[in-house]
Amino acid sequence: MSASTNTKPLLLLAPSALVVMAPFVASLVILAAYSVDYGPNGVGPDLTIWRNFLSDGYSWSVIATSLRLAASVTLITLLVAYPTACAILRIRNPLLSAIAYVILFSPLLMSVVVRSYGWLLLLADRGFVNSLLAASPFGLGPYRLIYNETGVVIALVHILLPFAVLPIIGALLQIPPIYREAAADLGAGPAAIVWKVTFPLSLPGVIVAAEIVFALAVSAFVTPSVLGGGRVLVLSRLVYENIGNVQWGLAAVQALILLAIAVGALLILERFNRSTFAKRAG
Amino acid sequence: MQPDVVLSRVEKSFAGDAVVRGVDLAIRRGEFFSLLGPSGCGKTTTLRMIAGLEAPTGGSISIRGVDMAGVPIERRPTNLVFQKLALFPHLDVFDNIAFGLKLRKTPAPEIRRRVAEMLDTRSVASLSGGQQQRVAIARAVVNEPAVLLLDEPLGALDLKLQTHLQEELRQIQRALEMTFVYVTHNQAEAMAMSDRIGVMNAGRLEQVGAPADLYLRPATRFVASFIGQTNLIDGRIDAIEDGKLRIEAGGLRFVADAHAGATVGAPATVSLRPEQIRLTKARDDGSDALVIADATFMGASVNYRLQGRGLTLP
Repeated sequence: MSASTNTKPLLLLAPSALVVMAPFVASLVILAAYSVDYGPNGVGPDLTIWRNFLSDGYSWSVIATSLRLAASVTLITLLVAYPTACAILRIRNPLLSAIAYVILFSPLLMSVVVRSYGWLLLLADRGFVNSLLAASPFGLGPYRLIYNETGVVIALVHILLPFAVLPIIGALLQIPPIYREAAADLGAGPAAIVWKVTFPLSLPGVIVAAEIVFALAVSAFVTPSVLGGGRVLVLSRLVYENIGNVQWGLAAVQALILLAIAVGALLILERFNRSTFAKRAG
Repeated sequence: MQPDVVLSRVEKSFAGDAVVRGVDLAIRRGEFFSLLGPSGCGKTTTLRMIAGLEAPTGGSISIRGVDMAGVPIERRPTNLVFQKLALFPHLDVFDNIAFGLKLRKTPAPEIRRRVAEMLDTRSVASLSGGQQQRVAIARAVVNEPAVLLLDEPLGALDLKLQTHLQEELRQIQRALEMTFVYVTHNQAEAMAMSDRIGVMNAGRLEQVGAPADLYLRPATRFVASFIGQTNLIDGRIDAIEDGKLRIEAGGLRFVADAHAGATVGAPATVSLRPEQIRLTKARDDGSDALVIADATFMGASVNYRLQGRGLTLP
C-alpha cells in the first residue's frame, strides 16, 4: 500500500479523533496531576494520596463492591438480553416488532433519577413487588430489595438491557440462515442448532454487549446512590463525595482507578473476542 | 430393486407462485442422478424438499419406502452439500466434518478414525483450490446418509478443478454405492457424472433418462435444445411406414423412429445434431442443397453455418 492511500483514512479520522481524544487526554493529564498533587508541606509531587488510598482496606472493599456489582449486572443483563434478542427477531408482524423495540428502549426515555425513584417505590418493603410476592400462593417475603446491592442490580439491569440487546440482535442478524439449515441437515435439533451454531456465531455481539454494559455499570452513579441509599458504596459515589469535600486529589485517584477497571475489563473481553475470531479464520 | 427416493405428484408454491408442478420421479438405489435445468426451473427447490428444508405443498416424498411427510430435516436419512457450502466458520476442518457424528453421540475414537479417513483418502493439502468443496462434501458423506443431496457444490470453481472434482465425486459415489442426487444447470457436468438425468423446466420434469438417451432421443423441444447443440426444424409428419416416420421439415425430408400416438399430418419438430450432418459434394443439379455460408474454426472441430431453402443452420 502506498503512503498516500495510507494517510487518507488518517486524515479523515483526524476531526473525530481531535474532538474525542483531545479532551480525554487533557482531562487525564489534569487528573493525573491532581492525584500526585503537592503534599501538605508544599513539596512534591509525590504518591502520598495513592499510597494512602491503596493501603486502606476500606478502599479495597469499595473497589470490590464496584467490581462485584458491575460483574453481576453484566452477567444478568446478558442472560436476560440474549433470549430477548432471539424473541424480538422472531416477531414477524412489523407492528408488533416496532412495539417490542419501543418497549425495549422505554428505560432510556426516562430520566435516570425518576426511574431510580420509581424502582425504589416498586421494590420497597411494602412496595409492589413485595406485595405481589406476599399475595402469591407461596406467601413469599417480604424481601429486603432496596438499600442493598439487590435493588441496585435490578435497576441497573433494567436500564442497561437495551445496550445489550442491540449488539446481540446485530450479531444474530449477521448469521446467514444457511448455517442453521446445514446444522439441521447434519442432524441438529432446535436446541443443538442454538447451542452449537447460533450462539457461537453470535459471540462477538455478546462480547460487545458485555463491554458496553460493564463499562456503564461500573461507572453508574445515580442508581447505586438512590437504590443503595448510601449503603452501597461504589467508586463513582466516592469520587462524587470527595469532590464535594474538596478532596480533589483523592477523587482523582479514585477516578483513575475506576477508569483502569473499565479499560482492564475491556481489554480482557477484547482478547476473548479476538481469540474467537482467530478460531473463525482458522 | 426398490427405489431409494420416490417423488409422486410433488408440488411447491411460494405465496401462490408455483415453482414445482407435479413432479413424479423414482431414483434408484446407488444411482448418480442429476436434476438438470436452467436457473429458476425448480430443481433446487425439489432437492430442498427431499432434504426436508422445504415442505411440499402437494404430493408426497418417500425415502427407502418411508413417507417423509412430517419427518423433520434432522431425522432424515439424507445429507445435503450446499451450493454455498455453509461450512461453519467458528469450527475448524475437523470439527466441521465431525459435526454430524458428534450429534449422533459417536464415540470419540470412531469420530477421529472416520474424519481422518475422509481427510486422508483425499489429498486436501496437495490442491490449491476446491478444499472447501472437499470439506463440505466430506462433512456430508462422513455421516453415511442413505441419499446424498448436492446443490451445485462445484459451481464456484474453475473448469479444470470442476472436472477434477467431478471425477472424484463419481469415484466416491461408486466406492460407497451411495445414492447421489445432484442439482446443476451445467449440462456437461450432468452428462459427465450421471447414471440418469432428469431435465426440469418451469417446475416440470420434462424427461428422465440416461445421458445418451437425452442427447439422442430428446422427448421434448426443450430437452433437445437444452442439452448440446442442435438444429430445430419445424415440419409435419408425412407418412408412417414400418415403424418409421417420414417427416417433411423446412423443405428437407427426414426419417425417424415412430413413437406411440404419432399421426399422419401432425406437426413435428426435427432436432438435427450438428455432428449428424454430413458434408458432401454438391449434386450436379443443385437440388436438396444447403451451402456453407460461414465457417468458424473451434480447434477440435469446425462450426459451419449452412444456408439454403430459407433455412439457416449453425
